[in-house]
This record gives sequence, C-alpha cells and structure tokens, in this order.
Amino acid sequence: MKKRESQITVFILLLILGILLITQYKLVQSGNKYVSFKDIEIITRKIESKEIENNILREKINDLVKQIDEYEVSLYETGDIESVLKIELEKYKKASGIDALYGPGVVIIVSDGDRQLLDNENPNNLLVHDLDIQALVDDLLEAGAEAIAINGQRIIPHLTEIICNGPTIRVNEELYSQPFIIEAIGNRKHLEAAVNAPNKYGFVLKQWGLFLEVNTSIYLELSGYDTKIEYEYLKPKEN
Amino acid sequence: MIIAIIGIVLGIIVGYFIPITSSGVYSIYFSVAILAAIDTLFGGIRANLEERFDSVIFISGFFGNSFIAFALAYLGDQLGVPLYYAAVFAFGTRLFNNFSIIRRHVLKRI
Repeated sequence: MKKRESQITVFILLLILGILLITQYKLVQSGNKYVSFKDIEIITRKIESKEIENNILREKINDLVKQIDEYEVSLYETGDIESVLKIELEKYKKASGIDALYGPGVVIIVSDGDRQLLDNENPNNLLVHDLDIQALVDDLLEAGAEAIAINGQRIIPHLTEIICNGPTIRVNEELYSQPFIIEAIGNRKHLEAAVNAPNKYGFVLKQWGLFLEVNTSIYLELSGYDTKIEYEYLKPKEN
Repeated sequence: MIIAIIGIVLGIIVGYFIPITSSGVYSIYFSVAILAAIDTLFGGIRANLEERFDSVIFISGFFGNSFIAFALAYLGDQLGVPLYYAAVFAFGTRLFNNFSIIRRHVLKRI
C-alpha cells in the first residue's frame, strides 16, 4: 500500500515536472528572452518619451495641415494667396520686433546708488552694470514680457547686445548713460512682480543700494528695431 | 522506475499539447524552479535506491525547493543581485552529488 501511494505521488510530480519542462522549452524556443524588471522600466520610460515626442510632432503636422488648408481656401475663394501671406507677414513682423508697437506694461528706471560707501567697500557695488540690465531683461522675459526696450532701443534677444562701455552701456550699437529706462509690454502685475518680488534681481539691486523704480503704465509705445540686420555667416539651408 | 518514466513522458506530451505559455518575464523563475524539481527527483531516486524513500519528504522537497528557488530569483531581481545563481549553484552541485551516489548504487547492484 505504501509503495503504491509513493508511486502515485512520484507519477504526479513527474507529470508536473514534465509540463514545466516543456513549457520552459517552448518559451525558450519561441525566442522570448529573460528581461529583468529594471530593463522593463527603462524600456517603458523610453516608450513614454517617444510617445510624447510623437504627440509634439503630430501637433506640428496638424498645424501645417491647417496652414495648407488656409492657403487652399484662400486660393479657391479669391484666386490668390496674397491676403493670407499678408496676415502671416504681420504676425512675423510682430514677432521679429521690427514694427513699432504699443500696449500696457511697466517702466523701470535704474541708476547708480547715492548712499555713502562703507569702509573699503568696492564702488562697483553701487554702479549699474551691463550684467544687471541683462538680468533685469531676463527676469522680464521670464515673466512673459512681449516686447522690451532700453532707452528706446528695442531688445531682440538674439540680436541685441547689452555691453559695458565704461560709464555707459551699449545697446544696439548706441551708447547710453544712466538713468537706464527699461520699458516692457506685457501683463503689468506680472512684470512688476518680476522686478519687485523678493529674490528677483531688481529686488536684490535695490538692497545693494542702487536706485531702481518700477511704474506700471496702461499705454507704452515701443519703437521697432531699426539697426541694420545683417548676417555674415548664416546661410539658409536648402532642402 | 517505469512509473517515473511514464510520468515524465506523459507530462511532456500533455505540456506540449495544452496551450500553456508563460510570459518571458518569468522565464528565469521557471528555469530555477525546474532545476530544483530535477534536484529533488535525483534525491528521490537516490533515497529509493537506499530504501529510505518517504513520499512526504519527496513532495515537500519538490515544492519547497522550487518555491525557495523561485523566491530567491525574485528577491535577486528586486535587489539587482543575481541571487538565482545561488540556487543554480546549490542545486547543480547537489544534483551531481546525488547522481554520483546513484551511479555507485547501480554499479554495485550490477
């Protein structure tokens, strides 16, 4: 009896072993490989980032399709695409900063501080430098400024230089001495906060003892960028 | 012995025709579990030859070893250490030990 019992258990267990063996064999033969959890995670993340990329590209495609549709509708209705191109030109002019614009915004006046120097204090601490102006401009851009001008010179971030020139600052190849008046068009509250909020650059400048004043305005006029635009090295790429 | 051979052959046939496929993720777990089962099988044969085979010990060894091997592989995966090597090594060594003893028993009988 004991023998028979053990024979049955051995039979059943070996049956299970056989099934396990052949399952594993089929799995290995099918070309599936062992992938660790870590690899799965990495691959999942890769797929996710690719999907995000795809979505961005899909949006781009949609935009381009829409643009083509606009051209086609215009061509169909009026026989030419001039009107659409004109609207586009206006848009790009606005973006490039060539046109004079107006809108609400802030006016910032910055000039050297007039407090007494402390013993052995570096007088540079009280002077306005090109870097200070640049940092203020960056803060404004970050706060959503749509157009910025320094002493009437329109700032175009990739064209305008803000360079120290002794006691003056050179902006768009023109020299300006203080006070420096920065005008920015955008949300007035946001732009004001971008200068005055604690730990913003304007706030820090004031603490050093420089003169800095921010006024909001509901109507500001900025002239267009009028320095010659010329590229020496850039060439358009042909497809 | 004949029962054992019939069992394993039947298992292979059944496993071949029933549509069970495990996911590739668990391939390593299955392989260590199979190794543990084979180890137990050899242990059982040896015990049988020494005439001290106990089905309870055999069953508990079969499932217990498989489970521990499985758990080790899983733990190793979680910790980033290939702990299943430990199972492969231990079971592999014992398998050969058992086999050498079985061989001696069989040769002595002949």
